[in-house]
Amino acid sequence: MDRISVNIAGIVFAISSDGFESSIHLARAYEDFLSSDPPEITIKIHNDGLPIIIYRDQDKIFDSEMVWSLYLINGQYVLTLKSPSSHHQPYRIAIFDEQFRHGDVYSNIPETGLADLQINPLEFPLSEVLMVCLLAQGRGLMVHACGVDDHGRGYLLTGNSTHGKSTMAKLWQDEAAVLNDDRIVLRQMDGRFLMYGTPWHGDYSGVAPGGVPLEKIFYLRHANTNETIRKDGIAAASMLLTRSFPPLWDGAGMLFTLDLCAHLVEAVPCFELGFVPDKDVLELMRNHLIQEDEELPFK
Amino acid sequence: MTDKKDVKKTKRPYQKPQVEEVELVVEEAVLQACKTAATTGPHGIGTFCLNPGGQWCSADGS
Repeated sequence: MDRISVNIAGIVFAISSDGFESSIHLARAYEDFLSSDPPEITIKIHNDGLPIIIYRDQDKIFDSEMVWSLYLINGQYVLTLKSPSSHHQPYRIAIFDEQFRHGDVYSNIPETGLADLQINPLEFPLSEVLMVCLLAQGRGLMVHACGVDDHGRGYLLTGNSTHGKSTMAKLWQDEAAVLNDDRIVLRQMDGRFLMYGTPWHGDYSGVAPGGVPLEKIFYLRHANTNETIRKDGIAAASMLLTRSFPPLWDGAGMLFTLDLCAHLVEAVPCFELGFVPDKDVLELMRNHLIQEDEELPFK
Repeated sequence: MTDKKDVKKTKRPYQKPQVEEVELVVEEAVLQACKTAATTGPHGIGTFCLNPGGQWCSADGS
């Protein structure tokens, strides 16, 4: 039986396969996340077809209306992956217990090309939806962001598509460690907010596990000049929330998420950052950090 | 002995709770689409995402 463990944002996932048809093979981006620590989450992979499940509307918790749906059936979460090209029929199903601690992932494998087949069982969107569900249980929040570890100082550069996350990652790549250009996890550990990379990157493929203290949050936007505007309170929390992946289907999870956003923007200085894509902005971010450190009431 | 005074000085003024409506970018917030899915197609070697209909996505990390 194949087994691989990965540690993403301090959560250790053990993925095992019954060895049928193919082995587990994660994408290259997972290499830095391999772990030998005891798993918190266990996932078993089955590549011999999908279980028969009767879907009822009253069991449906959430429907992304495109690629995934979540059901709660007899005390188990059922995550179905589908797409227009599969005529909206599931091509992969994941079944988890109520805490998302143990799960089985079932796939339909096409008959052609089996010999060369290397399955990434955590392919989009399964891994990310699972992470959102796990974080919502009091663990943290996944943010649409680039994360930079500038020699122990963590900068979160957050924004939606086209706001400049990958551009920022390329500007920082020779200056600091880029944790990820698209998906960053924030967690509060021992009274500090830590920033973690994930394997789920965008256009810039560099990733690192991270775990660096979060020092500053920048809300990115392209501009004609480099400038920062201080954001705090509701504005800062709202901007963070709208650049995150909130567990919209989970009431308790949403309360936790909103609370986390509020605490985050109180503890960590936040800035809207207009920037032009050259390295001048990096020094602005660094120097701004030093100047602001002296004035911050919450440091 | 300056601790108490300093703490008072840095305390934020009370802000009355209020309802704030925020607008999510839905397709991004609910993980509707893989950013790199445009690369979907047949590939020779490596690690692939299995897409419906036997197509492969080689987007590393996806």
